[in-house]
Formats: sequence, C-alpha cells, structure tokens
Amino acid sequence: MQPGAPHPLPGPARVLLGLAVPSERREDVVGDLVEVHADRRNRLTSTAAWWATSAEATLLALAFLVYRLRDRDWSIWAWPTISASDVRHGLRLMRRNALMAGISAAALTLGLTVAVTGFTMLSGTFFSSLPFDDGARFVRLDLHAIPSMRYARLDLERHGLFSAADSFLFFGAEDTDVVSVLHPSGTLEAVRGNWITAGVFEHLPYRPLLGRNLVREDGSVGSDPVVVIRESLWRRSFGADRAVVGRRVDIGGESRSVVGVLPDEAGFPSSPELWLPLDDRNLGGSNGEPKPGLEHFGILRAGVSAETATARLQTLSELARTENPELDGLRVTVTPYTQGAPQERRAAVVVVIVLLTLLAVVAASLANLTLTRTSARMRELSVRATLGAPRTRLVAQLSLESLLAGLVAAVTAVGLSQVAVRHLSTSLEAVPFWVDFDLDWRTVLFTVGATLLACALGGVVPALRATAQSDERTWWNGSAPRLGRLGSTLMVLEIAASVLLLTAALVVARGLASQAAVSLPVPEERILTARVSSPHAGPTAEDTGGESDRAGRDLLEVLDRLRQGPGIEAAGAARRLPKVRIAEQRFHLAVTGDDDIALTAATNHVSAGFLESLAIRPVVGRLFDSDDQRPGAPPVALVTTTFGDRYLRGRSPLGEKIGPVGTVEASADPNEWFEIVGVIPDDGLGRDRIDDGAAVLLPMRGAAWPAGLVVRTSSSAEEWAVPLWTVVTQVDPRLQVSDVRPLTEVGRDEQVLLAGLSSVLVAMGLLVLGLSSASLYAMVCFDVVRRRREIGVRVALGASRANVLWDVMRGTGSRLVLGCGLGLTGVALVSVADLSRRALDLPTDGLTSTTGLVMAILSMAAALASWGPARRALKISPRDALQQTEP
Amino acid sequence: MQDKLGELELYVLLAAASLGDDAYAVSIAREIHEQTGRRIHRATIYVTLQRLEKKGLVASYLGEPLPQRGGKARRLVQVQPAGIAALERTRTALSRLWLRLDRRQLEAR
Repeated sequence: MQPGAPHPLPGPARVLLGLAVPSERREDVVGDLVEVHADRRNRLTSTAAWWATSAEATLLALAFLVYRLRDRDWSIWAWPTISASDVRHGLRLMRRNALMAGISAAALTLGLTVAVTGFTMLSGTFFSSLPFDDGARFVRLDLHAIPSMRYARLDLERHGLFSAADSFLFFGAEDTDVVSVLHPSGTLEAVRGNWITAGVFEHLPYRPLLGRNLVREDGSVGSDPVVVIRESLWRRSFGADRAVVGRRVDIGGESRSVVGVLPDEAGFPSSPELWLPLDDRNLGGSNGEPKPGLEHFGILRAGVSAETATARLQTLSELARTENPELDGLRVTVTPYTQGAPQERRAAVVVVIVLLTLLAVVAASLANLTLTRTSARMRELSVRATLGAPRTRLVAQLSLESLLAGLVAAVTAVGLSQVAVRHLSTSLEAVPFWVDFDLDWRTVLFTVGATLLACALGGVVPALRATAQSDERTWWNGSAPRLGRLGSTLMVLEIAASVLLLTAALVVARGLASQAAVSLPVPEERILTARVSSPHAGPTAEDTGGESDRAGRDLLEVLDRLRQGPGIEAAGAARRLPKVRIAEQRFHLAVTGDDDIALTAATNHVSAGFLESLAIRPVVGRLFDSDDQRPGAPPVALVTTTFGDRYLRGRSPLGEKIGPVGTVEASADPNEWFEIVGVIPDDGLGRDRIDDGAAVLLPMRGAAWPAGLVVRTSSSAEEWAVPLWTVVTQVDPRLQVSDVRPLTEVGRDEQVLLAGLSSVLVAMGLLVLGLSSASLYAMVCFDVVRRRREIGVRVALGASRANVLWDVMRGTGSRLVLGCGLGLTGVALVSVADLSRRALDLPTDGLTSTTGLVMAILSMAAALASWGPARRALKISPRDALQQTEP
Repeated sequence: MQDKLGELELYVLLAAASLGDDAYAVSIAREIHEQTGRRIHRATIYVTLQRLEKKGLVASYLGEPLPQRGGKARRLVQVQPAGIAALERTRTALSRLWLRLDRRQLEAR
C-alpha cells in the first residue's frame, strides 16, 4: 500500500456492496464507506474497524436490496444468468486444464460421497419410524432409577407409577441375547434371540406363517416354556419343515416347544431369530431369575405424545418421591422408539458437524485450486472487462466451472453413497430393522445444500475475490489477485485437519492392530470359549446369600469335569474373556516403605486354570490355584509386567499389596488388601492390555457369574462345542450356555466395526492429506505466477538460486508449521488418545511416534507438492520476465 | 400537487442546504448528528436522497475522484429551487401552527 493511500475495504464489505448496490451508485457508496472506514481506523483498532465496516456494509447491502426489490429493479438477478455459450466455454476450459479440473471434481465427489453417506445413515437411523400402523406410538422408557432399584420397572410398578400414568396402552421389556440352540443332529448354533414381554404381540401386526404368536399366558409363571422362531431360522435349521410346530428344541439348556414361525418381515424389537417370553411377574428369563439390563418400552395411547407422557411421569415421580423418600433420584423419560438416547443424538450432531467440516476442507481446497486457475486467466478476464463485461458476468463465468463439477459430483456422490450405505447395512448386523436407507427428500436436500455450499466456498468466493479489484482499476493490467488472508487461513486449517484426522486414524488403527494381536503360545483355534450363567447367582453375592456357594460349587464342578475330558488340556473361567471389553478399576497400591499410590488398571476376575488354558506362564511368582478361590482364603492378586514397571519402578511387585478404592478406605486392616503373588506377561490378554498393559487379575469367587469359560483342547475347538454343552448341563440342567465359539471368533463383531471405523478415518485422513497437498501445490504455483516479474528482477540483480528457492518455499513452510501447530493443539485438546482409549477401549501406545509419522508424511507431501512449481520459479529467465508488458 | 416533506426528508434537505457545495451522504449524516444529536444511518440517507431526487427537490452529480476515498468520487447533492420552495412551505406551515398555540395552555399541561 502506498503511503497516504486509504486502507482497503474489508473483503466481505467489497463483495456485498458489489452485489447489492446498483452499478451507477457503486462509485459513491463504496467511496463513502472507504472514507468512513479510514475515519474508523483512526479512532478504533484495525480489527474493530474491520468488523464495524463489514457490519455496516451488510446493512447497506440489505437496504439497497430492499430498495431495488421495492422498485422492481430486477437487474439484481441478472448476475447468475448463464448462457449456453458460457457453458461451452466452461467445458472447453475444463478440457484445457483437465488435470486441475479432474482433481477438483474427484475431490468434490469424494467429499460429497462421504458427507452424503454419513447423512443418509444418520437420517435413516434417526428419522425412520417403525414400519407398521401405530409404529409411531411405540416409545422407549429411559429409567434413571436410584441405584438400590435392581429391576427399575418392577420397582416403579410396585409404587404404582406406571398404572397411575394413564398415557400408556402397554408396557413391556426386552433383552437381546445370543442363545445357543442344540439341534437334534447334535450341532450347536448361536442364534440372536429376544426375551420379550409376550403380550406385546397383541399390538404387533405380525401374522405367523405357521402356528401362533406368543400370547400373554406364555409369560405366566409355570407355563410350558415356548419359543417362536423366524422364517430364516426355520428354513436354515429346520429345512422349512411344516411339522416344526410342537417340536421341542433345546435352547440355552432348556427344552422349549416351538409354537409358531413368523415371517422374515417380523423384526421387532431387534431382528431376532427367536422370540422367548419374559416372565410377566418378575421379568425373568428361562431360569425364573429377573434379567438385569432389560430395555423398557411402552405403547402410548392414541393422541398422547412422548413429551406429554414424560411430563406426566415426571409429575407422578415427584409425587412418589414426596411420599417415598427412598425414590429420591428417580427420573423417567419417554422417547420415540426409533430415536436413540440423548447421547446418541448428540453424537449424531457431532458426526454431521465433522462431515460438514470435512466438506468445508474439500471446498477450501477447491477454493485454492480455483484461485490458482483464475490467476492464469487474469489477462483474459481483463480483456473481457475492458470490452464491457460486468463483474457479475465474470463471476458467473468463473463460478460456472465449479458448478459444473459440483453437478457431476453431486449425482455421482448420491449414487456412490447409496452403494456404500447398502454395503454397510448388509455387513453390519446391528442396523435396526426399521432403519430405511432409501433416498429420501432429506438426503436430496442435504446433497443440494452441501453441493451449493461446496461450490460457493470453492468457486463463487474465489471468483468474487479475483474480480473484487475490478472497480479499483488495478487488475486490468493482468496482475493476479493475492491469495490473501482467506486463502492462507483455509490452507492452514486444511493442514491442521490433516494432522488431526490422520493422527486419530492411525491411533485407532494401531490400537486395533494391537488389541487384535493376541500372541498366545498355542493356536487360538484350539481354545474354546462359552458364556455360562447360573440361576443361583445374582448380580452380587449379597443378592442370593448362601446360594452363591452353590453357584461357586457349580463352577468348580464344571471346570473339574471339563479337565477330566479326554483331549482337554486345561480349563478355566473368567468374568471377562480375552479380547472382550474390560472394565477399569481404581486401586490403592501400598508399597512397602513408601506412600500409597492411587492408580487405575484394567481388572479381571479369573479362576485357577484360566491363564493355564491360554498357556500363559508367570514371569515371577505363581498363578492362581483352587485354594485362592475358596471363601475366606487370603486375598491375592496377579499383575502384568507393565504394572510392575510403571508403578514399582523396577522393584519386584511380589509381596506388595493393592486394594480397590472404596473398600480399602473402609478397611483399616491392610491384611484385607490383595497381596501380589505373581507377575504375568502383558501379551496374551488381548483387550486386557488396555491402559498400555497395566492390568490386575483377582481370583474369581462363586458369585462372579455369568462366567466366561475357556477350554484348551488338543485339536480343533469347534469339535468340543457339544461336549462342553453336555458337561455344563449335566452339572445343573438350569445352567444357561451361550456364545460357544473358538477364541478366534471372540470380539470379531466389534473388531469388524472398529476396523470399519478405522478404515473410514484413514480414508478421510488420506483424502484430506491429498487435498492439502493439492492446495499446497496450487498455492506455490499461484505464488510463482504472481511473482514472476519480481523473481525475474531478483535473478537479474544477482539473487542466488538458493535464495529464490527459499523465498518460494518459505510460504509453504510457514503455513505448514502453523497448520501442524494448530493440528497438534487440536490433538491435545480433543485428547485423541484418551477418546480412543475411553470410547473404543483401545490401547494407545505410541501416540508420540504416530504424531511424528503424520508430521513426516505431511512434510514430505508438502515438499513434493512445492518442488515442481519451485523448479519452475528457478527456470524463470530475467529477460523474459522483464519483457512482460508494463501495466 | 405540491410535495409534502416528511420529517426525515426535512432533516436531510435542511442539512444539504446548509452544507452547500460540500453536501454528500457522509457530510449530511454528520451534520444532522452534530446539530440535532440524532444518528441517521447512511443507508437511510441514500434512500431519502434518492426519494428527494425523484421528487425533483435535489439534484446529484459525481465530483472528482479523491485519493483519500480510494480514487472514488463523491456524489454531491445540490438543493433545487423546488427544494428551497418546499422548505419555505414547511417552515411557514410550522410557524403558523406554533403561532396559534397558546403558550399558557402548553405550560398548563
């Protein structure tokens, strides 16, 4: 800027006035604003002046728009008119710059595909309704009950809360479970089943293919155990035998009579292949015990909304709390059945924001590419402007290319997203049956909006920027517009997004690989696992009193009998199997001669024989034996190598004592703490390697049901499925066995989901990386074109090649450093490692090396992207550069 | 029919008349603020001037481009004889009304 010259108007002000003020008034209106802006800059800070002038320009633009519309001055709409020759011209230019146009279209297509796919899935999940009449009246009941309520709905019914709320036609509960079906052929099949309040079938439109539906009486105490199966199971496992009705089938250790077959269209509540009646009296399963973790639902009376029902229940809860202080803390909310929990809805909003951010990054990249292309066409634009083309026409012409690319990208993205969504919905079992991923008006609207947003950011904004100087008579000379604050900011944000997304992707991918890699000395195919629950054990030992001894004896007997089986090398049990999500617990560690240490470690309760079944040997000390499981035995614990290294700084953990927080404070006697008797290697526990491998194993006592059984066999584990079932049911026919499968299959569904998530993140990260590289390339090209004369002069004056190269690459470097810094701040703020560990339960070792890797990848990409244009800068001949016509 | 002046038109016309050859949107807004304490947005001034111009009460023309305005010219406003006449009529009407007002009645309220 020359001394004494006024400060230029803020970009938004120039653009707005250019659009809204009629051309014959633009001169004086813009001049007035320049004068006022200069005055403001004398009185205010530059930032305050920038904002105030931009705000005033907005008001002025609005006023002129209103005035022109009132005067029926339709010339304001003349700017977007595009003729056929414009389209032909645009296509010709795209052909001429095929590489750039291809990159733009591909980037836009990818960005839109990701955004539209995400939105289609969210829209299908959150806006679908149950696919039958009155499906909208089905609601979920979220019971935020007080901790002492074990079976919240029963307790609330006891207090008369639901019967008093006259908003409901029906209340029910359901639980999804994988149950084992023993076929007459002797084969065992794991099948998805739903325990459900039988009376709900009176309100469902499902007509059985054979036999009957479940009826209210099926849930009565003492009724004959029955089951209704789905068409798919009937065809697959019963050969579509019409005589299946009345046949008895062994399900989860209990003989049940098949009373009906429902068509495959019947999906309520979670697409099961079996429907099993819940005991109406206590919401119990087959063993008569109340089932914990039930999902509650209701059917609203006609004309009652979920909000009304919630309000009614809240009022009644408050009344109940007044009368029963024990109900303090009770809260009930009613939500439409197809809507997720509030957290899920919030997560959905976050996903949409992430998708739009990704799209914005794509658009930012396009904007930089468009600016670069525009810089190469400034002479052509100058000629057109000199011949009388208004600015609006030039903007329309420049925007046309991005609009054409946007049109192609939008159509392609909708097609690709439909393919992607169908693939995902068939590969993910967890997709609810009511979810409809067909193209609907919401998705179309989102696609149109997202495309316009991307085209506006990627095409119209740079076009406006490129032509903004037209009325200041400076760009007719063919000089390129500056990249400016907007372009630089977009690029820095792009690089930051690359760092964030790539780091998150690699952390999740590495965590996934780490947790999936269970290195055992024996093949996983030889290890059989199963889940067993006992009717004699409640969720806690106190629930069943002396019955827990019986449960403990049952477990020991099952393990003893299994060990005696021919071909079985070892057998054990644990509260959680390897590779399965595991809880963290806070401990106090009493180190001899030192202060207590508060720490967090993964915890599992395991029986004697569990680690032997996985062929894990102690590094020092011993493993658990059967005496450790006896009631009253001295409390002992095992820890992993990492635990010892981290908390005991290399000292031997043997003999040190730990105690769970909450119990140790209550107990003044340190003898009740767990004494560490052995150290085991980190490997081999799979997901137990959470928290970077620091884990504590405690002896499994009788009350720790349901238990995961682990049996190491001498041959293929699958051959031992039925013998295991037989042994368990021989000990007690009421023991329920489920999920009988080799260790290789454990946690597979979760791994598939996480692998999918990881792939999506990596793909998004690579996409953003590619776009950032393209942007950097465009930026350096742009800079070289713009500064061609200056570089020529500098070379003529004797500047060395290194100096020129440094000068050209400096811009890339500074933006790279800024972007990486911002990205790293984002990694720290979002706490990527913490999110990955807490939300996905993945180990997150090596975050620093991952971040370093991402930086290295980005730096290489930036260097590669800058190299070509930088070399072109070195080849600029001073004579040629100086012979460029002066303005 | 003789044009009646609205309050805003009166303010703008008076300010333009008093500024003489230096009347343009920014100076008119400043003059009104300094003399009456009333802030009128420039968008309103533009619209009012355009209305006055349509009524033939003022005329406008572009001045010379000025470097302190980024090379842009001012749209200078010149009050036309019809504008002067409209101001006279308004002053006469207002004076008559004031003269008919019984000061004692006004004070009694």
